[in-house]
Amino acid sequence: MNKTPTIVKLLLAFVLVVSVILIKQPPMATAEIAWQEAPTNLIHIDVTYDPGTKTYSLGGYSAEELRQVGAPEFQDEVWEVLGLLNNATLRIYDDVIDVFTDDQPLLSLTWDDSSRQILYTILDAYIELGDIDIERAEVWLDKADVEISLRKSKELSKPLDISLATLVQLQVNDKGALSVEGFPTGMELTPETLALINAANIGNLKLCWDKGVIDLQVNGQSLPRATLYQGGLGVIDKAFGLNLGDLSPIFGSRFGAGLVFGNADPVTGECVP
Amino acid sequence: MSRFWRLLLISLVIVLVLYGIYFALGRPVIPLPSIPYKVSPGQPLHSIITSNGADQLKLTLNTAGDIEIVSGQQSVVSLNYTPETFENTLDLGERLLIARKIVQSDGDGSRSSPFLRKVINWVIAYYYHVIRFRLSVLLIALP
Repeated sequence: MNKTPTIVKLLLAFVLVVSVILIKQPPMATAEIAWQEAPTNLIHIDVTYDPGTKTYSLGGYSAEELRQVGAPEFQDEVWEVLGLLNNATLRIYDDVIDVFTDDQPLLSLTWDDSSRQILYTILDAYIELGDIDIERAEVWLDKADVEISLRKSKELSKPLDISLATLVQLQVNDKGALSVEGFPTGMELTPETLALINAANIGNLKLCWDKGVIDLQVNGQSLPRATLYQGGLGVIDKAFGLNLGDLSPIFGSRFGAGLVFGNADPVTGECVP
Repeated sequence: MSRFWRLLLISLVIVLVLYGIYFALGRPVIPLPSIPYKVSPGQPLHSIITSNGADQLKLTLNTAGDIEIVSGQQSVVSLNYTPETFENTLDLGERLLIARKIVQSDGDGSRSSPFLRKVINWVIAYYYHVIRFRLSVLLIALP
């Protein structure tokens, strides 16, 4: 009888100690939220070209690598024009479009919503792919930071720099046809794949890529975060003979896509790290 | 108090004290010995294991929420999960399996028992939140 109260006291003391430890644990919900810059759709593409050999390098890929993936070749007239320039840069940011040639400003356009409406009308008239979704176009242009630079040089171009805050909207219709931002791509899912997706009741997917880190949501439900390592992908490349080539530009990029099947709810939100 | 109850109470206190220490230390991951598994030439995994020249592939499960595949010294891929994302993955996998059955046999597929799913989720959550282990399987390619 004398020992029982001691055990009870010990138990109480233990509960007290654990309670103190629990109270001292920092609250998880109060994690500091880092200040983040306003998200932009940054696309910086560097192109180097050599009029002598009529070859070009784009986004860190050599002429040979581009040829392997079916990149188009320029006509002689284009090479003649390029041969006259040392460099040219097109930059779109905020409400301004700047064009520089040979390091000198060639033109600077300031545009607003109404002037863009005129552009959309012109594009709608001349592009046969379909009408431009003005709302989507404004979302893209509102956050645009685009720079395309052409340089006469034999050296390899700089790697692509892509960081997109806006989700690329993909849609698969009831017949399996895939469109990107409302424009048909001509690609289709096989009927078997489409039937599988429908039977599994998959309405939409959201994929975010952040320099090798993949976040995927299916019907709004998050799946485990996957991290692909560039060196590790080389192992898979060798094992399966995929011949993936240099993936450095992809592993330096951030982007996201929302894929909607049929009439499912659209994917919203951004891929802000 | 009978001897049985006294022993039970003492055992409970010892377990609680040990877990209290484990908790106070920040619930560190307890490493378990690596399990070697030899892969003969001709098996599907053999070409993957030997592709890096290291001739071994290590699959590590950390029940605190990490699964990692390492070839030699090079990480290939890692997955970070929580009990919620794990449950979502199981749910998606099951739906795709049932969908495949439906599409291939033009029949009907049935879902697994809700009780079994709950048990799996409890086990995952237990080893995620309460006590954590690291278990690894070392795949060695035979010459």
